[in-house]
Amino acid sequence: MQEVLRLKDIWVELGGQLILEDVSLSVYEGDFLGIIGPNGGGKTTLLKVILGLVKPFRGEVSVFGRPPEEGKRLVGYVPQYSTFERDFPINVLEVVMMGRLRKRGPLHPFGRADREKAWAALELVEMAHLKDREIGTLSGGELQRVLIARALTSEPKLLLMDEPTANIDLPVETEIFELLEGLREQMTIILVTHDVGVLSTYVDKIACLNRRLFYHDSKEIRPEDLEAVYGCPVDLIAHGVPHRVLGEHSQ
Amino acid sequence: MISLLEYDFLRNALLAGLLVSVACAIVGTFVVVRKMVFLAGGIAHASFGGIGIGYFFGLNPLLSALAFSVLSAVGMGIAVRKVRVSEDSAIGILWAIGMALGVLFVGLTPGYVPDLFSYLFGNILMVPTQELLLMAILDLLILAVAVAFYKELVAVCFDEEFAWVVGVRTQLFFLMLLVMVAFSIVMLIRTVGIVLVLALITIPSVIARHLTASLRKMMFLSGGLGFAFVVGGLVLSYLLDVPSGATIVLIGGGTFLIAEGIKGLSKWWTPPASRP
Repeated sequence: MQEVLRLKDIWVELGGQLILEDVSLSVYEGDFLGIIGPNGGGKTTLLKVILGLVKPFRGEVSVFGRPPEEGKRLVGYVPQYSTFERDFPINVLEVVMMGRLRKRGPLHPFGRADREKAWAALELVEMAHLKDREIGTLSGGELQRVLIARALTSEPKLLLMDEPTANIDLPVETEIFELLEGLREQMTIILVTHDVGVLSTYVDKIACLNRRLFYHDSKEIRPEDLEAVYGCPVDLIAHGVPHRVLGEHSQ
Repeated sequence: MISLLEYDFLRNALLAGLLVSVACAIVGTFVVVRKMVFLAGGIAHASFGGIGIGYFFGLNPLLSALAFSVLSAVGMGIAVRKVRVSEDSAIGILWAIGMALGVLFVGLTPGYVPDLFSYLFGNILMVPTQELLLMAILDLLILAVAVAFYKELVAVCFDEEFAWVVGVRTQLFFLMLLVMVAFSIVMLIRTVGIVLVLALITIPSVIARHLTASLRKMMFLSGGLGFAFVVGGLVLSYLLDVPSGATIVLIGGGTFLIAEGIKGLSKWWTPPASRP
């Protein structure tokens, strides 16, 4: 299996604060990895390191065997939607077309092929009927789907998602995960969230991050890892989710 | 009857108004949607440094203002990212440094400093023909960049981080946008003056935003509005014999308030239940 991402001993400091400490992680083709951890635990920073947006002061990042600045060519990004102004005068199709900037360089205006790709991505996320809607008028769930479509038009092999289910109701959350389930055939997915909820049903590997990363290349989370990450014992089964996340363990 | 001399003044003023509206339509729209009005204000006020330097060294103040504001635009564009102070503090500091440099050089210039007031508060009736040429060149540059790099500029304004991820050279295009802002500011100095520049950059685009949700349409609408404000202000200031720059700005400001008022009233008339 091809190694899609390799982080080796990553240390990141932002504004004098240590955000990531000695993080190592290998992700392989076809993985669907969920990274959980408390707010402020460095989840977004970790994604930004993979994208080359944040430079670690120590450690190595390799994305598809290349430094992130080059490797990002194969990476799709779904940010938390607070990163742009919602009253920006732009419609859904125009937002989704931005994924095509990767293929269509400066001096080449978008053409029919780009619109068709954007349209296809909107169809996939079932948002095609909203293509002319102003971006600011969408609900949280609709916007999330549109942002996924935007990332898909950049034709990624690795999809990074930052809190895709924040500000979304549970039924919509399930729909988003069903959608991601369908994408797994074509790409590797890494998703970070502070909300364990539905996550465990769909992902096949889970890591815990709170400055340090705890990961065993599996879906199993050890209770001691969770305690280390959240600073207190966490019961993953207590939130009405009928799936066991923790492996059976003796008292 | 309007005399031939007055006709010349008016013709130049109208041409200047037209050229300025084109620049404001494009650049103002980007400035408003990117929410960098304060940054534009910083570049505008810093350009006063260039005017002072022009006076002191006996250069055309508008040309030295052009050079100086392009440099300060690039400087601010880099500073707001690299300096470890908040963006608005960095802008405020550079704003003040530019103004102070201008005051210093004007003070050092021996003898009488002509038309200083017109650079600060504008006098559209005093635009010489060769400056119209300069304005036309700047307009063409702005137009060419906006057409050639439209999708990149929109992407950088909308979501810079995502634009970077999909390979757009965001720092380059952000600086390009700031240089366009500097160009339009230099064009506006003669029309409404440094102190009032922000009015024509923001007001037409802000009103246009209420009328449309399309960026392109916003540009066309704000171009029309800007030209209407300039012509209206020109006519009114001529009839009432009051300063043209301030009149143009007040007509724009008045239109904005009326538009807001109408919007507020229409909301008030709509029963809450039927609001979207």
